[in-house]
Amino acid sequence: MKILLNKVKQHQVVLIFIFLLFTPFIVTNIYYLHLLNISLIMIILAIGLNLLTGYAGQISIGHAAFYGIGAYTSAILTIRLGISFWLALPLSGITAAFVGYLVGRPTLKLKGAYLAIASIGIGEITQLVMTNWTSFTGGALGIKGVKSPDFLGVSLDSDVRYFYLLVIIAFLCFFLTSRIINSELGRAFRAIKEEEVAAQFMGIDIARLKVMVFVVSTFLAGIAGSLFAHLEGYVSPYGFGFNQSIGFLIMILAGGLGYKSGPIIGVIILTFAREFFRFFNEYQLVIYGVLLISIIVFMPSGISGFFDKLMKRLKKREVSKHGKQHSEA
Amino acid sequence: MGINIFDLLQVTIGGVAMGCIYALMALGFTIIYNALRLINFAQGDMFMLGATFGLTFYVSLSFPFPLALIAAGVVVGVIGMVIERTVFRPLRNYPLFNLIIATIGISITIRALALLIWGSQAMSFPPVYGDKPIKVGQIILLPSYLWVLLISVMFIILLQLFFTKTILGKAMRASAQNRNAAFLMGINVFFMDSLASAISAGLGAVGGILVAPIFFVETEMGALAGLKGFAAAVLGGFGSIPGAIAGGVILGLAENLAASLISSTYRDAVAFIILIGVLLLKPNGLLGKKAGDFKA
Repeated sequence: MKILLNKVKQHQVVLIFIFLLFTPFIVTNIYYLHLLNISLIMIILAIGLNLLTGYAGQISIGHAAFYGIGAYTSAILTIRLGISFWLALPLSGITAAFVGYLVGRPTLKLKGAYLAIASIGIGEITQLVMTNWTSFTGGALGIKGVKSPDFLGVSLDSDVRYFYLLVIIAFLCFFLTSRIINSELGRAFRAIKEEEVAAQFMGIDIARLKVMVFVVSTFLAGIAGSLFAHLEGYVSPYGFGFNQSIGFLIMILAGGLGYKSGPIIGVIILTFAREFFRFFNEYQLVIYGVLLISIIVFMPSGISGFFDKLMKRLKKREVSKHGKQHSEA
Repeated sequence: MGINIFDLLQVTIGGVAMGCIYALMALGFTIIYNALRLINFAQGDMFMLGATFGLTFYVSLSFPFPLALIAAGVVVGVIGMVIERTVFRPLRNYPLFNLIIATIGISITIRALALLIWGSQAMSFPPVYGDKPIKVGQIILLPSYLWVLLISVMFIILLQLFFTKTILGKAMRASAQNRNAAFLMGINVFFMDSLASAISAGLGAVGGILVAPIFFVETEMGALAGLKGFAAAVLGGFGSIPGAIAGGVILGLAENLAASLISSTYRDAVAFIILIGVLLLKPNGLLGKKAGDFKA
């Protein structure tokens, strides 16, 4: 466990975990709990996307496609082939990661933002296939009747029960990526982000590592998609398009790129902010757009980055004050 | 296949006409990229604004069509200038990723405002081009596509003349090529940025109003058009002006041919299949030198 957590403060994580265990008793409104479940699923995806963009500096503008591939894979495997959810879940991640590999392998060999461009194309093509290949994907109506998973005979068919499943998987994903970030691999990723050529000179196989991080992040997107399908009970092309891909990017940017807490804070704040903005009815999207531009202009390193810098500044001030008193005495 | 040479010619002309619209969009992406080094995902919304403003000018204010076209272009151009001044300029030295997301923020805001002004209903634009097909021998041509072709080619030529013959156009190219040197030569590079943003927006708007009589006008219409314009720019070589024009025309042609020869179901996929094909085979595009030289 110690190695696993490494720099993440252990007691904090334990406290958060205990707090989360009691959340369903505090958040008794089913709608908000459902929203929280959706947020947890998006956090799983956002953690992967943050690893890709925040740490390795590669941009994917098509992550909703991998999310969708995961959701459809899980729906098709469990309904058409009758495979258990527990097998379909990793298979969804693997399918998404396989498509990710096919896209990433040729485009990440090149220097520059080719992945960003290719991922837009993949996103649109995936969307069109979902909508038009009716015999396989159910077309615009999608696939209904995706069953809730069973766990040791208990059906996780309520938002409360599903919440615990999501918390556990989200924590596992968080630990997995934290471990990557703190390892030699994570340092290599950051080196690629800072200066690709220098990283190459230091003996880092940048193409291989970029593909690797992209595969990990698409795997997580696939897992998130599968969890989404079994939470909602159906899949449809709606919600896996360009706008959703952009939505994920906005979340990790607002949360703070390259901060472990970034994706978590970004997802939760933006999900609930959008709920709050519903009170403004037809003005909600205007406010959302303006808020987004303001965050980028005034908090370029996101909410986590903003508070991180604030804390550092406060600490510095305290230290310098302390130092002064010391010298006076 | 029941397709003869005359049908093929019709399809070709329709494809080239749509291709010219994509070329206008691609030019919008290119010009703003050359000046500000950013990929402007609000370009599609300029296309939408062109159509909606065009509708207001032509129908509500009963301007003649050519005037409505120019008025829509100018109004959206001014909007482009305002966006440059208020959002792009303060963000000048930020990472590309932040800039991209900022353009998406602009896109969301514009689309939401347009929804407030024009509503979510799809509106139809009066058939200004006339709807009587023109018969040349055995070929039947729709006048709308001919007009779109004619007017967009005219705009592309005007733009070329602007860039090659006028002092202002040359100054813009100089500042795109080497900002510091241009600045030292006394060119107001900040004004060039504003101008680039205005021209990009205006070109998008012209594209929007030109196709408005063919399709419906709605606030979501810019999304796909924007992405296809982007695909055209990548195909031609991102940052290259002749590339953007060639990319647009090839894309429009390929799309129309694929739709009529293969299947119209995946018509919209053609652009993105080409996009990925280009990245695999010739990542710098047809005419680009260092196309993908933008860094995250």
